[in-house]
Amino acid sequence: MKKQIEQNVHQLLTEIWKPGDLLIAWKKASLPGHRIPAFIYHKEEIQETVFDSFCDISLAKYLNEQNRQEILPNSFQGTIHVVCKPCDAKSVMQTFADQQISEDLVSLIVVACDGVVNRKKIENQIEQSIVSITETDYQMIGTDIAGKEHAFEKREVWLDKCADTSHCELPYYFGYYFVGEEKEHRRRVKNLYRTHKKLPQDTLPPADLQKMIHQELSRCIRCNACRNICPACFCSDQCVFDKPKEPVKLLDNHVTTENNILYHMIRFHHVAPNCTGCGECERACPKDIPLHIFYEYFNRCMEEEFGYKAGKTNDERQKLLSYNLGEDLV
Amino acid sequence: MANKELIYLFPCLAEQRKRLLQEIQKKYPFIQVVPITCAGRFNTSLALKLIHEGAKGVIVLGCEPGDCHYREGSVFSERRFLLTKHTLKAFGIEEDRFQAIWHKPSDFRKTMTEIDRFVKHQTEFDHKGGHHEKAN
Repeated sequence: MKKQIEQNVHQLLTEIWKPGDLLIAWKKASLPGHRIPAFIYHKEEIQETVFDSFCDISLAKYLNEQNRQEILPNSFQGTIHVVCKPCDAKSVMQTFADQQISEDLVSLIVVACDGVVNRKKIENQIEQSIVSITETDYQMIGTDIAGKEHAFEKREVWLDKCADTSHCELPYYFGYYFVGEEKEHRRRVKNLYRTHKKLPQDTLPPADLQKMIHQELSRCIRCNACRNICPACFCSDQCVFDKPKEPVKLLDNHVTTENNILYHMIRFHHVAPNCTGCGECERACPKDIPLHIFYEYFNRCMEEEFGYKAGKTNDERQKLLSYNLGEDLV
Repeated sequence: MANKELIYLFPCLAEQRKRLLQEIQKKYPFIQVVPITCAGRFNTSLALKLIHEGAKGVIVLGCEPGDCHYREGSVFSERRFLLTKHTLKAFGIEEDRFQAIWHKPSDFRKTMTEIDRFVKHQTEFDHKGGHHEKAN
C-alpha cells in the first residue's frame, strides 16, 4: 500500500511540476532505516524520493524565513513543493499563520500515513548491528549482521505520538493535495486510538516532580538541537539564548542542571503558543530526554485556557499576540 | 542574580503610584521595587529566572485590563501571565510565587491588602520549608 502511495506522489508531482520549482521530500540514506531530506530541482530526480514508515523527519522547518534562504538559489521564482505527513502539515499551517512564508509560494502535498517507526526502538531491541530493515503491511522486519530476522509489530515500535490520532487531523485549509484515501483517513482519525495520557504533572506531587525533572534535565548538554529543529522557533539570530551581551543576562553559558532547567523553562514558555506537538524536539534530542511531558502539558493548557490549538488553520493569529475588541480577556 | 530574601515588585509607572510605592517600601523593606513603563512590557522570562533562582516571590502591579494607558498592554500581559503560572506548575514550582495585581491606582487600601496577603502567604510558606528545598 505504501508503494502505491509513493507512486501516486511521483505521478502527482510530475503532473504539477514546472521548470524552476523546488521539491522538498525524503530520500534514502546509506544506513538502514534512515531517511534524509532531499532538495530536488530537476524533474528527472523526482523518482529518487521515497515515502514509507521511516520518514520521521518533519520538513516544515525548511519553510522558515532563515532556513529558506540557506536552501534557495538567489534567483528562485518557482513554487516550493513540500511533501508532508498530516502531523507535519500542522506545523506548515503554523508557519503560514506566523507569516514566515507566503501561501502562494508553497504547494503542499499531504500524504496519508498510518504511523511512523521510531528507529531507536528497533535498534535497542536488536543486540547486534542491523544490516537492513524492511516493511510489510503490519510488521517491521529487521535483519542483523548474523542474518537473523527480527519481526516487530508496527504498533510496538512506532513513535509515541502516533498512538494518539488527534495528531493526524487534517488542517482546515483548501490549498493542499491529498494523496491516499481521504475519507478513510478521516474515519481512522475519528475512530482509532485516542489516548488521554496522564502526565507526571497530574500524578506526581510537586516535590517529586521537581526531583524527576532535575534527574532528566541533568543529562542535557545544551546542544540546542531541540531549538534548532523546532518549526515554531523562528527568531533565528535574535534568540534570547544567543545574546550573551544583553543588559539583563537571562542565562549564562555554563552547563549546569540549574541552568538547563531554566533553559527549558524559557524555551517552552516562548514556544507554547505556537507548539503543535509534532515531537521533533524529543526525536532530535541526543540524550533522549522525554520532552513530551512539557509540550503536551502546554498544549493542553492552551486548549483549556484559550480554546486554541496551534496549526489548525493557516490564518489564525495566536492568542498571545492578537486582541480583538469585545473579545473575552482570558 | 536573585536575592533569596527578597520579593521583587514590578510596578507600572504609566499612572501615579508614588505614594503607594513609598508606603510599601516603608512597611516591607524586603520588597525590591523595580519600576517598568507598562505591565504589558514585562518580560516574563525574567520572572521565571528570579523564581527559579530562589527569590521569595514576584509581583507585577498593573492597571486593570481596559484602563491601560497604552490600551492593550495589560490584556496581553494578563494572557501571558497565565501561561507563566502554568510554566511554573509544569516544572513543579509553586505557581503562587508569581502574582499579578490588577488595580486602580487610586484604590489604595485594596491594593495594600492584596500585597499583605501575598507577603503573608510567602513568609508562611517559608516556615514550612517549602521552596528552597531543591532536589539533589
